[in-house]
Amino acid sequence: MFLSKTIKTVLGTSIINDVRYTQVCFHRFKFIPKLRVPEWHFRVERRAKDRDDNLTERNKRFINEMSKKDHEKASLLKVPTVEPKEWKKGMIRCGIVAKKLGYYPLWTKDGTRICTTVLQIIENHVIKYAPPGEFNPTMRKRLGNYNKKGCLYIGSGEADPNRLTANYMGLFKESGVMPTQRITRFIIHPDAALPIGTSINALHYRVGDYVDVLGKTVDQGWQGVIKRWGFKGGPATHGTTKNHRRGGSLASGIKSRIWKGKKMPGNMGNRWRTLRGLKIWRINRKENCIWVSGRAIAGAPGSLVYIYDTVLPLRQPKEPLHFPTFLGDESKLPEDIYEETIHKFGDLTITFEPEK
Amino acid sequence: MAAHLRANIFRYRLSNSGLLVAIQKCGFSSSESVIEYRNRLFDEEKKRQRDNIGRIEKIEVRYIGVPKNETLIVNKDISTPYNCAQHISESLLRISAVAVVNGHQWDLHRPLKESCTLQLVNFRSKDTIGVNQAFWRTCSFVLGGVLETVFKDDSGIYLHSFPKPDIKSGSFTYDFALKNQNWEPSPTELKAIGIEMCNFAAQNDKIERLDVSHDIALEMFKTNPFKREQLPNISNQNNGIITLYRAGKHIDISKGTMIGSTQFIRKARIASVHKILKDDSELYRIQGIALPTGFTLSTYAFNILSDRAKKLNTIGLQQNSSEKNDNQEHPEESTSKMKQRI
Repeated sequence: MFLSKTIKTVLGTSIINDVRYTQVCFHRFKFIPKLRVPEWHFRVERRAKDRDDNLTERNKRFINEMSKKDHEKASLLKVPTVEPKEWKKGMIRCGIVAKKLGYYPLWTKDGTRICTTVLQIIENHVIKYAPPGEFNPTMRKRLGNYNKKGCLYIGSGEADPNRLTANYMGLFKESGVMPTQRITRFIIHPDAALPIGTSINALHYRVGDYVDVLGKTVDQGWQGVIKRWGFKGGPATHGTTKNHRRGGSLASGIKSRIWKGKKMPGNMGNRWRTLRGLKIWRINRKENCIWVSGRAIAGAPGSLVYIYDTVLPLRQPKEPLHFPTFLGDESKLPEDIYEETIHKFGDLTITFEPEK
Repeated sequence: MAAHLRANIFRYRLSNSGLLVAIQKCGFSSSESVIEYRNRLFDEEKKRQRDNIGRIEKIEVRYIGVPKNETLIVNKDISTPYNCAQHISESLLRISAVAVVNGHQWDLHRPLKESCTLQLVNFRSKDTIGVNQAFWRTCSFVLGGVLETVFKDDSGIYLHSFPKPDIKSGSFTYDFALKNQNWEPSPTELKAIGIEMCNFAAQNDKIERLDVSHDIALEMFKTNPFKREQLPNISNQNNGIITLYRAGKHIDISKGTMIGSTQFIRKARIASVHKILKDDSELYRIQGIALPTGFTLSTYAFNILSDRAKKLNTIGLQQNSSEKNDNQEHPEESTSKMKQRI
């Protein structure tokens, strides 16, 4: 709705399957987005009533210790070395699952203040790769050429294995990765495939490049037409009777019915929205954080967002991207990588020459 | 490997053992008859003992516990703690695993002999150490029953015994011998045996106890060379009496208390099978873990337990005399030893 047709078709190749763009109005009950069931049709977490294990404190501590040991073992997994490949324009590489931490200002060297959002890349491990023949997307129309695209399954976020069902944990057996909170699919060019067990970090992206960030908007609940659609409502005084926040006319004489999609009160928020073309200003490789422009990323701080390389035609990278991922020596890079025009906090303060 | 499931005992010869002798062909047409014959003898002896009681005398049982302390007048040598629970409360029937009579562990379905104090212990009682041991012992017992039915006719399975239960060892076990000494179980087979065990347990058979004379026990287990050897030792230590337990159609020798019924065994998993040398015989030791009903555990935690259960359980394998078979210890001795441990 907010995007032009050309961008929509281009977007079609890089969106994950769980994105919805159509507004759906259900009168009178809470909007629960239609869950598109993932390929694995079973519960992720054990039912609350089954979780009452009645363990002694000592046993609980022991299980936690074992869980930590298993996490350590998994982190020492031997992953096959990845060979760097040549990146060409149009080759989509893997995205990242990140946590929106909050907002932070940055300043350019000439004193301009930039609002930025800090996104922290939580543990991202490759669980599975489905090559083009094997990958079977649920939404076929949106994705053009899905026969030629592979799919990387990325697990993100630490999960307590005690809360998980056996079926869900079975998904991670092959990879040896400890079970994660979320499994995300990224549709990629086959050359961008990463071996199972690889972990992706902030250096996957570069400072100065542009990204698209997908998030779920804050759930505002049932809202009226003024807040939801920005209607003007009616006059506050001058004798207006019961028409201060109403929608006004619904339709005119043509067609003798209300058009579909008529803006009316309903559930606001709780939708997936992508913000395009956000510039990366700073990357911290120790904490795995990236600073992207703006404060409009969907979702409240603390929520998970998905980062992709931008599809905007005028914001494509000029130099080849790290393909399939960053494979250089991390220790050679500084801990904090700033974009060239950004003022580093450790530098001398910005001074202005007096105007003449 | 599926060739090993389903047993039919005809002829069995162990060439590598000094103690065991080649066995004559039994007078039975199929293994079904062996089990049926055994059950028939059990029923006949049970009926005979019941008829021998004669005039029914009354005893006073003082029940201590929830919902309130009660005094019951019940039949001597006929009424069991289970019958007493039937007089008290239905919920007790559902949850009681083991009885404590005059401070000693007592089977739920074993007739009471004299006036006594009675307590009914369930899995969530404060003092559950005895119940845990009884549960582990019952799991071994049930596993034995499952093994007899699960192996094929020509596998030639002979049950040996199961050792004293020790939860710290990490698993409950059963030792048995197979005609073919090269059974290497696949994970699927172990899983199948585990499922069979859960199916057996789901039949909800009550576990009955019967004290029989040495001769009757010998007649019942005449087709099993291992049991035949063990019987003289057991009866000598116990005044010529051998304690048998029955669940469904499975009968086995054990001196310890079992839990009231098989329905308490909920989640059973067979962890591993090891080859062992016991009493100069090459045996298989099958090890598993189980959870009682009403207890939930996350798959992750259960996997920790089952990984531990894969290690060889060394109980009953050491040479020192303190490590004995479960069927060589009197139940009263074992409970007093447990109390000392507490």
